[in-house]
Amino acid sequence: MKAYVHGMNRRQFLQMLAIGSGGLALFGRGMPALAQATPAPPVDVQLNTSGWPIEMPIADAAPGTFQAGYARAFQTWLDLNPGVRVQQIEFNPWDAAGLRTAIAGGTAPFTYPIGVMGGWNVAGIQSAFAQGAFADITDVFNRYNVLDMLDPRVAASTSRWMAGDRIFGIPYEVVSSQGYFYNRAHLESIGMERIPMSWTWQDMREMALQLTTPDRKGLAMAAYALNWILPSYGIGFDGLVSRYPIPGRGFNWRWDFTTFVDDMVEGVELWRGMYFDDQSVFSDPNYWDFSQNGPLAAAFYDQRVSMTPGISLFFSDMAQRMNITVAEADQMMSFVRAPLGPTGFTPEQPITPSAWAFSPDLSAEQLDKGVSLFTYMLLGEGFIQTMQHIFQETGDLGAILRSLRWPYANRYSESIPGVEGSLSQAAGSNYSAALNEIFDQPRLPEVGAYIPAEVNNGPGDTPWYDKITRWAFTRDPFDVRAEAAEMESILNQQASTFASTLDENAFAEGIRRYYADWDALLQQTAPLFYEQRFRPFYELRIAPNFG
Amino acid sequence: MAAQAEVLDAPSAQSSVPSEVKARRRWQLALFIVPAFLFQFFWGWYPMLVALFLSMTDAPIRGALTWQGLNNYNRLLLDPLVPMAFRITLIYAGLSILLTFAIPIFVSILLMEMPPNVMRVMMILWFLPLSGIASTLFWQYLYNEQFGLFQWIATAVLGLPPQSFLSSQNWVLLWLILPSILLYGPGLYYLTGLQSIPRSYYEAAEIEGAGFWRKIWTISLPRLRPIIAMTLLFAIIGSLQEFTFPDLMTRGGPNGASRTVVMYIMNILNNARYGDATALAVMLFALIMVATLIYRIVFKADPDQ
Amino acid sequence: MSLFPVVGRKQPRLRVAWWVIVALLCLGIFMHLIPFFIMISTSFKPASEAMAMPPTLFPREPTLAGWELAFNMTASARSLISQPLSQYFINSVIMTVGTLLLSIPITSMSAYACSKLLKGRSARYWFFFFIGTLMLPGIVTLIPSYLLTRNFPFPLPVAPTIPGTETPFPTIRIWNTFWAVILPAGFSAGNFLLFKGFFDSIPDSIINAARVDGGSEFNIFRRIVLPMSVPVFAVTIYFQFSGTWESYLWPLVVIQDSSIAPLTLAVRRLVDAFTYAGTTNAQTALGQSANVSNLVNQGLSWNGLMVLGLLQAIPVFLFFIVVREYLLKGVRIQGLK
Repeated sequence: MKAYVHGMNRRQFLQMLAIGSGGLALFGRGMPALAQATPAPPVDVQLNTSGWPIEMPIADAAPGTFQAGYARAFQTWLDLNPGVRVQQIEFNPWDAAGLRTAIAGGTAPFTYPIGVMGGWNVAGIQSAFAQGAFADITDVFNRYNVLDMLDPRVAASTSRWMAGDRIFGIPYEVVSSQGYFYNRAHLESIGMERIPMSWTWQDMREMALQLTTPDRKGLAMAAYALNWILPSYGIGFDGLVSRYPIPGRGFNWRWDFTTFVDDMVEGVELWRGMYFDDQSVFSDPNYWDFSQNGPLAAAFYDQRVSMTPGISLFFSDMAQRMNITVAEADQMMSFVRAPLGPTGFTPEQPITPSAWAFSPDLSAEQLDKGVSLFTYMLLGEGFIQTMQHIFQETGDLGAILRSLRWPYANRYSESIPGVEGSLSQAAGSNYSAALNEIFDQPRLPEVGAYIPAEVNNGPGDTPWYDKITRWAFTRDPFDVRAEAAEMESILNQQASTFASTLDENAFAEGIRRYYADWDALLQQTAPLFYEQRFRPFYELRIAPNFG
Repeated sequence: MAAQAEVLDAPSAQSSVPSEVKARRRWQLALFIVPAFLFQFFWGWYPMLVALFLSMTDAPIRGALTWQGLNNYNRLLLDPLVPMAFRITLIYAGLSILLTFAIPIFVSILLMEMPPNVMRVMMILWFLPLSGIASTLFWQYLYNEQFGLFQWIATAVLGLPPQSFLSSQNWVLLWLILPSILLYGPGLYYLTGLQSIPRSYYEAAEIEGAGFWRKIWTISLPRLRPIIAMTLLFAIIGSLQEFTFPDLMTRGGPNGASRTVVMYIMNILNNARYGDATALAVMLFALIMVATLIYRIVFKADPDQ
Repeated sequence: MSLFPVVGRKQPRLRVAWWVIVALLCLGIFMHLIPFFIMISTSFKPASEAMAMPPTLFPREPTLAGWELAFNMTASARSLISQPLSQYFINSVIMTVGTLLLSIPITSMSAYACSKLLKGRSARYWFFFFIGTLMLPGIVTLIPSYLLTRNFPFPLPVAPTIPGTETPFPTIRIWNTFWAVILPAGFSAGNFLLFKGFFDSIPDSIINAARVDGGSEFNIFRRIVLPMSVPVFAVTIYFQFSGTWESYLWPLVVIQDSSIAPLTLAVRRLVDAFTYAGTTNAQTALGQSANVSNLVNQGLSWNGLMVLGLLQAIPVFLFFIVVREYLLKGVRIQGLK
């Protein structure tokens, strides 16, 4: 708890103390009686929920379960907010076509995941916001001081829930960067204890080769391997040194894959060397799924590979899939951020929140109550009350960790008021140390946070994926240089057909700040990349227009 | 509905139909067609016309539309991936009809040769409930380039170097079409037509010395002709809109070599460009209509007319 | 058994040919059975084994976990599945039967009209009118159709106001009722093609003979055409049944009340919850992955997905067995030489 105190205002801190001691006082009596808040004036409001992430409470849930604690907290909120009805509707907010349709006609649930509407990328999310798919919740967000409820590191990563100074979502869960789970016993067999965060793709290639035995591959890899390798050279669909802004009324971005095409050749050869020459990779053109339920993870469970890609959220599920406890999993495997590029660059954001938006059809009252319910149950007192109940009944930190995915977007990842013990210890000390090391890395600037939301999303990433899937697996002869140039011309041709809806000056001003921030960051974190890639590209492509 | 005026009566009575009989026939025709007309208009054509309109706007997710005229179409015509998707769609549709269309017809003809009880069992086995997920899983295994059955056959049995399957730009379409040979759906429909062929036809042919193939060629297929005409039309329309299976297997790769038009429409939709996606769908509509017209000219659907 | 000669059937050459045909048919069945076998086999595998590559033919450690999860899911996921599964089942039956009752007569009569009552150019126009809607990918008409269920006849989120007044036009709202599923399916262009093909194969002479006898067109259809069309009705009813039973996206956008939702919606919710059985906030991890749709659709707890896939398909399969009898009852056309 101490770690987060400095990020709070005084009122929040006192409130938390009050909750904490209240929770401790409850411990003996088992009565739910949280902060002595007075009920709000009665209203007449209905909120329709799809069941995610606000589910309907179950009245007769067994004590000690998440549902029981949740039901009590839910009732507390209802008592504090008389006149609010929460109704479960039959709807699946994860279905993109269904959600798009429901938003268009005004029948969407009161809250839904932001990424579904924007193809899960920042530009798409911002474009969806500009098209009116999410309510602007700036006022009510500030009224409830939601920022103070968030882990400071989450609060700082705004690009998936803010556009310019407008807020359109509330973070609810977090993940670390894309990274790799590795088998610690296998690693020891080649004389390494842990993988340092500063490893490069070349290191990975060498390790994978060493780890490969007749019945084991060193590394499992998804079909878009090159989409993870090339961006560490700064090259990608939205790569730092492969895409550049241009001024004017047309679409504001163009692509340049020719300046650093040697890097692309090198990255492609590195991967193909691993896959075809070293035979150290377990992969296939249709391994799209790198989740804890996919073929890559399955090979990892069977010890047929030593390293597998993943994100931090998979950890506890992976333990469950292997039928071992979290503590055992913590001994068996660990997690490291994706390797750096040869010049020390990483495109990986240390922490990414998953945010939920609110329906643009909500009335002011509905929006107020909806945000209140959401933050209460997931970030604030309701969350604490739920977890306290589980702990009181079971005395088991593991039961808390199993009920909601750890770490949390709120301030309680380390400890929850009224719950004894450190959650990060319980989640696996090696694992949480590795995770915290990643989380504490500096944030990378994301362009969405600097310029207003663009209605036109511009060209999609289809041409990029077309090329990298071919380069990764084809046995036909091909020429990366020629195809990179072709990809560049396709994307620029597509881009030239769009118009921008942004104010030119606002755009130029945002772009200057964006590149200035990169400039400052890269000098610190990746001086080699800064000297050899970023500066030359900046001078060539950006300075002439925005210098 | 002036078109109803062209009702043809029984040919023998055509010249001398009293007007009240004509009126009655017209009224009867309306009974047959008007309900279908209403449903097809309001739930079929009307939303399509709205989509046509939306394809000329920017069609944001919410809020006011802005008229774009033909801008969306112009943008698509300048997009190099659009002609590519059309080319691949045409190849895919042509190949899949060429390779898979005839099989269920012959299976049905052969199935009719089985004793009734054997046929009952075989039909059941052919219609076991199958989830798309299971078939996809199965085919992904067959095509796996490291551990797949086909790779094993190529390297261990045939002694070839390792082969590319779904990662081969030239062959990927063929590999994607192969599984649809197993789909026996329309076979049921051929059985309906085959059953109504009188046994006496075959007996007569036999007396004239017709053999196995000759009977198929001169009796079964001609009698099935109207039915085949409709399934072929259905196959043309359907295969030009292929989406699900290639999407699950390849996501359009490698290098876009298996990305059909509908897959590209979905890409654009996921990119939050509803207006462009609709415009591309309208372009596909035009292509399918042209294909249908060519088909109607080549394959006179109804020899009676 | 019409292709083989009646006499001399016992000749060795013919017997070999017959068995070759049997072998071919069995080969096709075998290839069809493998995915089915994999489905059954996977449903008994533990979750980690279900994705192993190369796959195991038989479960190494057979487990009922997938089946247990599927059957206990309603208990642990009551917050997601608010009605008993039987309620969803009944809703599906109502929607499916309602669609069949409306769509099969309407579609078959229009197909008959196009096949036998209309000739020449008007027949071609009507034909195009009836099948033209097949030619546009359905995904782009989803939103207009859905808006029509909200404010018929306006494909708009909100009905416009009558010019010069503040009152909106009166509209019909069938959204969130059974009608929203049944009415838009009132005419099926796909079945229209099937009916049309079959009616085309009925010789005109039969119908003309009946006309000479003075029957009205409706009576000819009912008393002469219908009895000889039992097989095609069986097939179209089957296709319509399975299509409606398995439809997902349309009910998802037009049905929101759990008490009238069909089984597919519940099953998909179960599948989605299933994928993270044991955690309450199932889907959230997906939000992090650029790969989300793929995860939801195919990547997760395969054993459970297989079980649910089987459960979902059973009614269609049972229905097929019923239909098959009618399909095979094909009434031979009498008196036709």
